[in-house]
Amino acid sequence: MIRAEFYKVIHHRVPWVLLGISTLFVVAPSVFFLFRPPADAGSYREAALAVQLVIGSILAAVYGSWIVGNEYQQGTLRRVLATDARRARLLGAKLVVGVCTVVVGLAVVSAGGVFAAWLSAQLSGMSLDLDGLFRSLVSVSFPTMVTVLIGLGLSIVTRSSTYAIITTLGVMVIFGPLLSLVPRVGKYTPSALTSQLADRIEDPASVGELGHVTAGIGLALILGGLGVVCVGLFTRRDI
Amino acid sequence: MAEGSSTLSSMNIVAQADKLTKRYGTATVVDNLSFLIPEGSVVGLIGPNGAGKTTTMKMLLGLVSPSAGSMELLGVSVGGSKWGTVLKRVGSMIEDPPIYDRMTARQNLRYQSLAVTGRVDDGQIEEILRLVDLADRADDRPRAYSLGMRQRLGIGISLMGNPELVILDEPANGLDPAGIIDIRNLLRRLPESGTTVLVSSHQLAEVQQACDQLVILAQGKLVTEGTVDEILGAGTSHHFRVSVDGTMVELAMSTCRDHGFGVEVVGPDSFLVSPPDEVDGRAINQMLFDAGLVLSEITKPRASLEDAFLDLVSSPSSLLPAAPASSPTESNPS
Repeated sequence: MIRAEFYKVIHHRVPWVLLGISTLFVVAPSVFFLFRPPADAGSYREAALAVQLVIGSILAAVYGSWIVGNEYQQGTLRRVLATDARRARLLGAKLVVGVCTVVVGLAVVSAGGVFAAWLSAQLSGMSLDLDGLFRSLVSVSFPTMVTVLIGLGLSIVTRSSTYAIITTLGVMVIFGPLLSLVPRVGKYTPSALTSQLADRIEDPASVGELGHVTAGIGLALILGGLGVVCVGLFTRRDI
Repeated sequence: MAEGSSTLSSMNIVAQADKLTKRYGTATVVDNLSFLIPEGSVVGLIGPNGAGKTTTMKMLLGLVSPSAGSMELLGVSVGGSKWGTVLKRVGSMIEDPPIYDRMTARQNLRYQSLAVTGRVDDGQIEEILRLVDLADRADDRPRAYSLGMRQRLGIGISLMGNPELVILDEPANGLDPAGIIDIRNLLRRLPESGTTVLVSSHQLAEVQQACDQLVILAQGKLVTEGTVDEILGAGTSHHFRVSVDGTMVELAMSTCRDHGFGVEVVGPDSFLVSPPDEVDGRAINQMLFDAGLVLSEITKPRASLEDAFLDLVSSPSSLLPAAPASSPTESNPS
């Protein structure tokens, strides 16, 4: 089943379109700087990382919701489940393929962004600061991966890629960050926990409102709970 | 079970349902349904809209869990321990053709080949493309296809991997007459290569020509099952088509009504008369002759599945009580 899912991802347009859009957006600041060079070299890196963080989260919601949600909407899930009744195994295959493609996609986008920033800086007579760059890239990629997983889970709950996209964006990008401002409760939202862990990846010395272990456990519980619900729904629901 | 079941039960059974029931809340969509599908046959599952045909097919494929009853597919209990891989020996197309619109037809078939067999069988893919007449459009995306082409691709996908059983829900939907004939011929050929077919359709004329066995549903219940000939014999009404001079039609109809026969106008100089079973054409002819009428023609219309179906489904007493399958199976947990 994993081979079939990889085949579908490779030959379907949607993942490539999302990859193209992500890369274009991440490269765009460096192109802009060719015409309006920044005051300092650090701007090349900060702009690319900021765009990757924002665009990555939005497109991650789309892709995560697409993996299973699109199959519900198009009716192709019947075809897939009528080929192999082991639903949990199928869900596992989709999860593995989804995570692998996101990792590869992030690597491609990051590489494109770094290269564009480096080239733009060089053409402007500056040099790109590469110190801690890998840690920074992992830090901005982490929220993307979490968003993909939440999108995937919500697409199973809602049985729709459209509703899953909206809900995921609400949880991780729009309302989630707003809720994180609520005293006491706000620091436990998925977006707040993700943000704390991303900060910790970027700077190991950062503490955050919760300790990184607490934040990690909290996020794991949320994702784990969503996963249990999704497996239950996916394996038992009538299609 | 209906007449002919002893013949059915002596053959290899590819699929069977035993007291299958599906409820959604208070609505019972499938009610105590039992039937057998013998190996090497083309079985038609027919019934009015809402009869439970699609739900029954979905239950056979494990897409919908039954509220009660049990099923076996290729000797394996649906939902049992070996159920996981048996579906790789079954092809299906339920409701709309399940096609990835942004992949070409060939890519759709390759995906299915990987899913069913774990490898890409380009030889079989090309054969299926020729079979469903899509070889020259194989590298186009289905978004550009007509409804009939999408339907043919869906059938092609269901044939991937040489399945032992193919379950098709309205395969001729959206096809032109030539396409319908192609599908009928395809369905007739499949048993020759060892594939049993379960097909649902509203096109009764096609079902009559394509199918060996029929399972007729209404309101979620089994009405009858058997061969086409058995059902045509069991369900057709006893009526005659009478032709007289146009000026005498009203008098002829009035005479028939006076004798308590049902009449129905079918043309300017002909009508259908439905007498009791013991009254034959000769008696009708004599009765009208005694009334001073001379008939041009009196014939008994050839039985059609459409007539038999309407008679069977519309009769309040047509719904059979539950009949046990020949080999009882364990209950399927929902």
